[in-house]
Amino acid sequence: MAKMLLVDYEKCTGCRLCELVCSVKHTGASNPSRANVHVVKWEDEGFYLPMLCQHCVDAPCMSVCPTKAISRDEELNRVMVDYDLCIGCKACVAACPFGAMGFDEIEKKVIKCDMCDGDPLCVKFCDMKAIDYVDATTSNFERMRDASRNFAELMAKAHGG
Amino acid sequence: MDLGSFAEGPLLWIVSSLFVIGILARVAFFFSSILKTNKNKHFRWRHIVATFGRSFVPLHSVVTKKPMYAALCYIFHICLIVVPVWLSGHILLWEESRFGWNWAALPDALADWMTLLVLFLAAYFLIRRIIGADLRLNTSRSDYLLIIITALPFMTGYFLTHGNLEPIPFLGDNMRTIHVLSGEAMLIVAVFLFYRTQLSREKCTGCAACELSCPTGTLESTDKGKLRIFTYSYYQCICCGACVTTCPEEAAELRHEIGPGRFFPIVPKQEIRSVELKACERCGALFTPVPQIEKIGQLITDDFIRFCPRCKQHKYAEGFRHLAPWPKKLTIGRNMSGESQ
Repeated sequence: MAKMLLVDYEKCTGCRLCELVCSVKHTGASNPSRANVHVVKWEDEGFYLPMLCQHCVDAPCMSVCPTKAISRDEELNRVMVDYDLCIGCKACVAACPFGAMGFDEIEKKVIKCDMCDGDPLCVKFCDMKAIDYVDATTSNFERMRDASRNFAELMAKAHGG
Repeated sequence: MDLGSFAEGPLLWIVSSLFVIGILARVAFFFSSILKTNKNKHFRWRHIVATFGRSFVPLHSVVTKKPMYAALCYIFHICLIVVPVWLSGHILLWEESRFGWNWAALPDALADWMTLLVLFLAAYFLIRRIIGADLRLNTSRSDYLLIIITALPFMTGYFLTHGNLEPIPFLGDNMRTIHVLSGEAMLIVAVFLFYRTQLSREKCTGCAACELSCPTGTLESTDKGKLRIFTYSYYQCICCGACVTTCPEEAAELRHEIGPGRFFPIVPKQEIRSVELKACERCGALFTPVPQIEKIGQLITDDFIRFCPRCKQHKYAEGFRHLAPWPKKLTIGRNMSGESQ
């Protein structure tokens, strides 16, 4: 069964442990600016949202990549960067609607969530399971779809639609 | 002493020693220049040698993109070096000289064909530059000059061995001198021949992928104010073509340039292109070159393309913030501040 990362903003405590473990896992250094997950915060409201790659089916990063270095891995239900093909043009960083891709200034390469090859470390360290690694079942997809539908309505209102 | 014997005697000595000294000086300048740059220090030498070696193997993507043109270029350059060195007439001169060196010569018929090939290809390159409209815009005077200087010794050499020029008054007597002089001119030009990456104004999006691919740090980009400026250090270029094979827009072109002024590394870096950077419409941070954003805008539709990645995250999270079921302002904080007053 393919699995997916599900974010629940109601559970997130804003501790930013996911950022730390992600950067340690991927770069060997504890440096949140090089992590693939970022927690956006409104401290005075107690609202925290971990932002990470949505592993879109029709991914914008995939369609703008000039060398076809970004591809979808159906087995793990993720979008992957092939660093042998990547030339570092950063088109994907500018294209991602969620701002989920980053550029590592030290290693000079683009970075994105790779689901830790099927064993995400952020999920292991998240006590509240605000980021959870769940089966990609219909009900879980339904939860995601509901959220995005509400989100789309809000956005339409915000843009005067 | 007339011009002919001067050209074949003292001048040849002067030119050849200038050639050897010039090439050695350029090698020295190359190493001193490359040791000064701090870019990619950890993997550099292995990377430089690997990229340089790969450029000699005709299997890179320029070959697959323009197979015909690349093949002609390879043939042209091979003939250019092989014919003068292995021509039986030249080897005879070496043997007669005070060095007394000799080596196996090319068959004369093959050398003739290779000379004709060089002349034919030089004519093709020249005509191609004159006919092609966008190519002509990107061509400077030194490009034409280089092709003519390269072709001249081959042309005169071919006439010298084959043509019967006796009836023509001036050329018949002086063909040998002209041949030697043009060969000397070619040697001098070779010392001052540099490479230069040209980034096309129309095609380049300013993504700076070429900078990442450059093994020697020749091509560099720096974000200065609202502009991203690409600079080029002539002495570090090893003509590996990594920038050309990398460029996703096919905007990079590696060109010859005759630059006597660049021989002494007076100007270490030359600006070759500047691109305007797009400012995020929310926070004002400069994040991506304008042409690249325009190109992405043609490929995908996205309202948030005007924002930098960080602001996109923020915008997106803000949408969910409005969905959150709890009140937007916490009352505890307000009460506490109220009590303290």
